[in-house]
Amino acid sequence: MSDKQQWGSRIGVILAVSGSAVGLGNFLRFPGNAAQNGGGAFMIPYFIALLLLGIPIGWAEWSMGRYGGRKGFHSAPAILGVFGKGSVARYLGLVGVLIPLMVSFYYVLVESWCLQYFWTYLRGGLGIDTGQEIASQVGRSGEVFTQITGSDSDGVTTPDGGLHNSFIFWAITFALNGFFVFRGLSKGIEAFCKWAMPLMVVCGVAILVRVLTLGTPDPTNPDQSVMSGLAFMWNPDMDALLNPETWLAASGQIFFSLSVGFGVIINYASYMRRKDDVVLSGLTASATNEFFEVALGGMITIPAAVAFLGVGLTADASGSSFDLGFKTLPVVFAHMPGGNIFGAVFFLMLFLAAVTSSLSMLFPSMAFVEEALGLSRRASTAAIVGVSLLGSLFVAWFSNGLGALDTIDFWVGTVLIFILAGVQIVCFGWVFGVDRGIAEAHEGAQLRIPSIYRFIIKFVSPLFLLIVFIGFCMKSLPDRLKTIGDNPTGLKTLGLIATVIIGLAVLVNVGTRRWRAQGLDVDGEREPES
Amino acid sequence: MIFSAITSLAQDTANQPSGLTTSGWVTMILSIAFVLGLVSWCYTRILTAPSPTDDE
Repeated sequence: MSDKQQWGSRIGVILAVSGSAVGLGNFLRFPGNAAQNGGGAFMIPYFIALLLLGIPIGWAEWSMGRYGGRKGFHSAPAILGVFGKGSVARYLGLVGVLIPLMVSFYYVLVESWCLQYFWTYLRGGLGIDTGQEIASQVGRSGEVFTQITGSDSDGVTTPDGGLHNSFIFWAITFALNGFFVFRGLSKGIEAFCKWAMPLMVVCGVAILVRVLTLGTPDPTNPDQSVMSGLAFMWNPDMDALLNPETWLAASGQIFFSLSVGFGVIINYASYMRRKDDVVLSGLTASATNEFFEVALGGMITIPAAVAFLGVGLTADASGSSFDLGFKTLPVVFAHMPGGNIFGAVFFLMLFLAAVTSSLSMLFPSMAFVEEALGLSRRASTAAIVGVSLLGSLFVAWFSNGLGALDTIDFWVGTVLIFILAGVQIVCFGWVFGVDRGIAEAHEGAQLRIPSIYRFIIKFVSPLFLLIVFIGFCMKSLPDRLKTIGDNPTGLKTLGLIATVIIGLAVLVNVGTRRWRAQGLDVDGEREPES
Repeated sequence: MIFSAITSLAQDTANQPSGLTTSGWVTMILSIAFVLGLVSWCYTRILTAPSPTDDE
């Protein structure tokens, strides 16, 4: 096993970054968000956020990663130390390791649900009786979700002492992730994404055609049709644009969907060569994600749900990705001709989307441990897979009400992402300097960044991000803080987060001393060798 | 396959005047055309561009 990591091809890195971004949120969160926030009108703030927030922060991350790689660094703390010129940015950079590592703790679990749903559909479906009232069918679907996820109690065993199914599928999923991660960047992650991404397109298009040809499944109920679903999803309610929550939802969707501020792009880009293009590659990765989100996600989930369940039930479910994907859509598949096949294809697509994301999550921490402690790749991979195994077991164990998952998702997978993105854009646009940063991005670029982006990266993106973050805090933090003491699992999970932060801070300290001893440009005081 | 889906949608529209409004159609088509156009343009540029000659 060679310790030198490098991408095998340019298309490989683009597909790997796109794969990291495309996940369950593209198919479940986006359509629910759009339908609830003005329908087609949602697309106006959505595309504005893409142009002012998603694409520029993405370009900054790609450029910082490649530049850091030229200085011999592959981890967010080391690279942000270079761009932020000192230890404050370096310690803040540990968030870029913390986020993907801790999100992987629960993401693998969600991934295993998709695998279990896929398997259940292959074996004949979920057993939903379509002769019953729709409410009973949704109730049955909810029971199946509870059984599959084990979310009715903590632990990984059934009442009779056997291993819970969810644990078996979790183990299979974790082993699959471990296998590809051990194979490395090019032979593992890149190879997997190169066939998984096209396969996802095939699955998505097959389901799209099925959904768009559903027509009006029950002619006695003409309000329930694909056209009504498309109307619910796309008819614009322009008044929604006057509501700040629409802008907050659209910006948040873009931000989380593109995986900016997640710690993955900066790590992936650090394995690129000096003359590899980052501008067109970054734009292509974002465009790929948008294709999955708008052209597939926006056309499948909501129209299918409305065609069989009507606008009312769909609207109730669309506020929660889990409710929409794992409780409502199974009822839709139960009614759909060929529903078991399309259910299997849909959950296979979700599973692939989730695997391409989770594979990217362990690499930033592996790179960090490797360069901070001077470990071999094999040793660092084993160490991080071990940590992820323990963390994922923690989330699988504290599954009652999905308490641990929810706590990590909120504090790490949401709040800290805002903070990391803010640190990155400030380091790139202000400390390193926007002109120098764009000049670095243009090295080997096959596309020029429009000059207006100097202004956008320096002023608009940070301000936009700050406004969205303040809006998010005002909307979501008070309720969280009020109930924090009443949730023992939440407190344990916060303890776990604090422990990981302390561990990473120690590693930053150890790594900094090691890098200085090696004569590396820890504080970004020298130009990299060409 | 895609063509049959579009034909089916068009027939549904004719049967259901209360479905997508004109502004809904415009928003949907523009949004999808934008992402399809962008992704097609990007991949065309990527696949037709020469590989970088530099290597460290």
